[in-house]
Amino acid sequence: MNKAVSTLMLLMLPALLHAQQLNLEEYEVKAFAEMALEKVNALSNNLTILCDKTETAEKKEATMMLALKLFIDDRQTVETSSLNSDEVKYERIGVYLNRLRTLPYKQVTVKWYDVQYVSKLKKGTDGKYYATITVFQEFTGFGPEGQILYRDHTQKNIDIVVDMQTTRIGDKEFESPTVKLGSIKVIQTK
Amino acid sequence: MKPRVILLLLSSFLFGADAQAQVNNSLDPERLKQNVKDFDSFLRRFNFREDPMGEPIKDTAYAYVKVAGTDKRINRRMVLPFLFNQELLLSKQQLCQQFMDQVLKEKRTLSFFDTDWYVTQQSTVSHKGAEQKVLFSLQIETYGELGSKFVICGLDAPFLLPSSPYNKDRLLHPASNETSFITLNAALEDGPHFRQYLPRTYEADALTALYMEVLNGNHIKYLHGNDEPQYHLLQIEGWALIVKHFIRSEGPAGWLIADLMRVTDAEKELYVRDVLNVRAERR
Repeated sequence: MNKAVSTLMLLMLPALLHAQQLNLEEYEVKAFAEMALEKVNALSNNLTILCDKTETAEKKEATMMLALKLFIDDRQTVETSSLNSDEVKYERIGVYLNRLRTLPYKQVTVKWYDVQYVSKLKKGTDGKYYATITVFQEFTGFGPEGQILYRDHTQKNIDIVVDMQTTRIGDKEFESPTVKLGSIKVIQTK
Repeated sequence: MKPRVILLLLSSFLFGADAQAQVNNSLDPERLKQNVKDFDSFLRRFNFREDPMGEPIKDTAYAYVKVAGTDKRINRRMVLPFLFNQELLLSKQQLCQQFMDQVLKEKRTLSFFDTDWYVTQQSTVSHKGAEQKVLFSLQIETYGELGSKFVICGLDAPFLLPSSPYNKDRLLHPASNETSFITLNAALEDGPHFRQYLPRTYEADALTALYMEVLNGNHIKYLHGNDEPQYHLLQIEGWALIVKHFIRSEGPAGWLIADLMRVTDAEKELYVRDVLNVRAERR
């Protein structure tokens, strides 16, 4: 699905956002999933930069700010797991992003499987719409010589929220829906 | 036909032996499509609005699933067994069959916005510096077009309810009435023994205790959920279902019926009170 269709969906959503649960058509679900996935992809690009030892501290700082803006707020929790341990860690998003800078890899790649699943949007009493996106990720950490030090495949559930954003152009205000990420939960790691 | 037999036949009918052999990895993309990925998906499959491959169903009576390039026709009776954990289907075959018969006969469906279902989340909190286990019971509360939210309706948190052994010396003596209960003064300052001044039938409620802890800013902090939540579905007359998450590389996986009980309405009341720790009136 191209960006134009996603944008069109964004424009259509205000009219749709009145029911308690959105029963979207298949193409609408796909468009919404596309919007959510754009955010998830942006996050994985930011994660790659934060882990990259060749990037400057300034670029990492700016990337961290960008990554935080993808989330509803900085109170969101990230659950992390590893093949090396049964322990599951829980960190606030800011702490998690900061920790990525200290991972012992020269570079990392974060790839997504071509399988995603977005649950139905449900309206919260705060007027926002909530859903969960299920994604499947391959994480690879490379050593100084480019050798693979660590690789895992993880199924994750990510909270997403659709909120209205007000944009001011001249003396006019426009409202448009915006997709933000929430807490991230690990379902399984292989 | 027995549910187990149906399941075995259906597996080969729907997915074929080759497909089954390929999907031996729980993170295999093909297998992920078959998983009941979330509770919404469980409800849609129960209501025959989503097929076993995760695709939406337009017609309520039957649907077609594509297997090895061929369309195969399925109906609700054929796919309901896929929503049961296989161990349950094996151990309670007759009961599962009776349940499915009733659901099919009554054309019973489930909605996320039904009132009589609960979800429990086993969690770890920190209380005054010590880690404690808590079982939260939650329920969806709807506000018409305004939307909905989960509310905490029950709690099992023994550490919030310290035990207080019987002590005959702690009392409002039987002549207190003549002095306008001036001894209430001592009772309210009797900290850990305060339970002795309450009726013997009094049962402290952990949710109220948590409410007071939070209100008073005492040191309670949510740390994390210990495992996946469990769903307790009581909205079908005569039945209670428990839905849990199963990760496995073969057979049905994801959110499945883990237990099924035939219950009366009075037993449901007890279940809500004693298992889910809900003190408020059942909706």
